[in-house]
Amino acid sequence: MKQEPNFITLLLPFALIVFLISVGVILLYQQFRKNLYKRELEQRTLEGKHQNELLKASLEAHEEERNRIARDMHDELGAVLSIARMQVIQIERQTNDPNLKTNLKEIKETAESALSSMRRLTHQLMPPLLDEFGMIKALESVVEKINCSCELSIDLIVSEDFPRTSRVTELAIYRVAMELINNTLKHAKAKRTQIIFSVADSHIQLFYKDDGIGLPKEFAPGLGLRNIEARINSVNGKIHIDGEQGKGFYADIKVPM
Amino acid sequence: MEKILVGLVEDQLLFRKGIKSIINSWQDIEVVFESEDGYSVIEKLRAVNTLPHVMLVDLSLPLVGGKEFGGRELTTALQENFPDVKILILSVNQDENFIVQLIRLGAHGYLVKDCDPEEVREAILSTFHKGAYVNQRALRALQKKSEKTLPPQNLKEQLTRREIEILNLICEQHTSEEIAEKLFLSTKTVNGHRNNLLEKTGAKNTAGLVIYAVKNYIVKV
Repeated sequence: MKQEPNFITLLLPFALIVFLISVGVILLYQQFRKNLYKRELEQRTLEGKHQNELLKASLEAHEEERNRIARDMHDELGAVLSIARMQVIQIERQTNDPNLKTNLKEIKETAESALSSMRRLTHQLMPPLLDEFGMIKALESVVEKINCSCELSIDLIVSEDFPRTSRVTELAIYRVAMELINNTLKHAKAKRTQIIFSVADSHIQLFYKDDGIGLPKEFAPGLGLRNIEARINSVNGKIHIDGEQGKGFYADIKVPM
Repeated sequence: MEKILVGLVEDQLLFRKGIKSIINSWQDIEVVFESEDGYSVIEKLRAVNTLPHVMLVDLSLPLVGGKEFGGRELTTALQENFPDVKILILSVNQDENFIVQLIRLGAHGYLVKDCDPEEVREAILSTFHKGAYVNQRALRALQKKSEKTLPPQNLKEQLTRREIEILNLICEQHTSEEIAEKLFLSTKTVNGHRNNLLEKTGAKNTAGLVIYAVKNYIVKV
């Protein structure tokens, strides 16, 4: 009988130690899980950041290349085609041979058609106005051309104090606006489009609206819209699009200046 | 007859050679200066004996030390260093924004490269004899751009009727002698009015007067 309490007094501290150790292990394990989770989260945001930087870098490289090609094509090819045309006109003036005159006229027209293709191509690659005069002027010139063709009437409204901003931001917004206009032209069957530029809280705001057929009921964003999102992401902006069927398409874009 | 001396600033070799041979085929005009870049032009001009009267300048020219030195920069530099030399821009760019910008910077005319060679000739003659060449395209560009950006100034009221009349005739590219004949005045009086116009409008030359007139709706195009 004397031994029993002895057994308990021996067991109790032992149990206590085991209990304490297991609590410690559990706590440590939880701490470990927490740390792991935290690190994973950090890694994921880092990856996201990295991905965004990669996207930015690739877009920038892409644009730089476009710019170089457009410039070379515009200046070199434009000059060569122009002088060829001038030389043909000179010979055309000097000759009296009617056959030769007709042939020369044809060559002249060929050169003119090459020149206008060159202008169209370089404009698509990199609008010549963008660098020097900014995205608003570049868009104004595009809008003017579209309005002249009577296919679609675009109102481009820009707040009076609208500033110039960095090249990267201007280029991104320009490309997005062009993509939106192209979508309207291609799919929307719209008659009018409104594009409004304004500034609020050091953000550029672009509001885009057309009166076309809107988005279909089960709408899956295509390559065009994904490009738009990537562009806006690359300049840390936000985009919201909407388009109830039959009520026109609508986009709201906000980009920090 | 005195020949009009022309300088070419153009980096595209084929264009430079081609336009040179076209210009030299005209008996009253001669190319006496060539440069394939903009940044060395001022120095090169300092070294020549006779300055060109008219410089044909391309807009996009090679960079210098990674910096732009195109038609814009050269236009400014030429006016500072050789104010008597007339500047005709000859560019592939046909956009109105470029035309207005260059004329505001002080260019005496703006031609698009795919124009008729006869227009090049006309432009050289006009800048040499009349101080400026403004074609339909440039006038339209100036008119459109000034509509938005410039509120009408009240200076217009301060010009006398005679001055406005003379300003109109200047815009139609008449010389002082022709204006004198038209208005039954002496050339001296016309030149007096012209000087008053320059003073009142703050313009530096005929091109400036034309721009003023267009901006202030004194001439209608």
